[in-house]
Amino acid sequence: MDYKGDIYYIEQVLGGKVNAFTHLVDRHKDNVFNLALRISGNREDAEEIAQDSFLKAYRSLEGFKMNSTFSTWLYRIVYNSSISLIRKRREKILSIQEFPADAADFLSVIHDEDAAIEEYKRSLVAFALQNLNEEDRAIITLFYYEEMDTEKISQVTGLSRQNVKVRLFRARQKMSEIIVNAEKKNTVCHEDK
Amino acid sequence: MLKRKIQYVMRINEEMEMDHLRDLITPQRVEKASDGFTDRVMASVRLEPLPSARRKERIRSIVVPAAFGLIFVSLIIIALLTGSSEKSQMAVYIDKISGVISQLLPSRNILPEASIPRALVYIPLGILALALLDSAIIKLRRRKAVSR
Repeated sequence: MDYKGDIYYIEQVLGGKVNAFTHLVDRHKDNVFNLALRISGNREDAEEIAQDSFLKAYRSLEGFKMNSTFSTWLYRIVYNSSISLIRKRREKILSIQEFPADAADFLSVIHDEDAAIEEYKRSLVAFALQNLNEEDRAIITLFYYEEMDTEKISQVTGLSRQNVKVRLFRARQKMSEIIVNAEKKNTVCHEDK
Repeated sequence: MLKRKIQYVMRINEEMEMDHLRDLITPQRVEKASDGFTDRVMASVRLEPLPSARRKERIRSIVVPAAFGLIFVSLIIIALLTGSSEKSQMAVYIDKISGVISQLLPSRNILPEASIPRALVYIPLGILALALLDSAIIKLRRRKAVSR
């Protein structure tokens, strides 16, 4: 069945056809889940955040002003739900201080060199991302993975555009430091070997 | 201080242009939400009241206090009008109504010497009745929400 657009299904739901909300959930569930997963760092929490976000969206659907896209509005709910869940739990997602592997470890598991390098880079970035605080992690996720510009990130997070830029800059610096340190350690290990 | 701030912002803008981190970030595989995710969400959604019902509830929550507020204000106006020495036609009419009401109420003269308007003595009673009614409505709505 052709998707008729978010607004169409929103109007259907507001008109009393609850089942129309299924189309909205089906359309956005993977994006919502991915954003929640990157901010929270684990599947269980991401699942909980995603479900909770859709429920909140349904409850406040009347308040959707239609001056932004439904996905931006939904992302804002996901962002707020993720941050509040993480703060409620008050636990660090990954307590490991050093990247636990080097590039050679990946090559011993994935025998194709290019694929091993890609996987190493991916893991290293994921590790650096998990070492940021939840707000910076969300901003980096929205900028790089969701490919949003600073204006849209500002709409999702409720921060000013300049504030988004500053936070993005600092988060990137911190991530770069973590990555460089891990790579340095990697080089030293190889020289020792 | 301002110069330093400007330099800092300029540095941020420069860094935004030459983004080293982007080279490291490869497009990630999209993680799928688990099987049955939509069904679970829809099961919770179906337990929620319809948006139209929620709208009615919200209107009711505004209309009920507004109606009681109006009654309260009317009582004060009545009290002021019936208390004046030169009575207008309206005041006479209100006086008649309040006379009927006072006949329905227990015939006890609480303040025989007081110069305050007669109906004014019923205002505390009115406030008390409204407060009781209000708390009863709140309790009823809470019970409804819990049973839902």
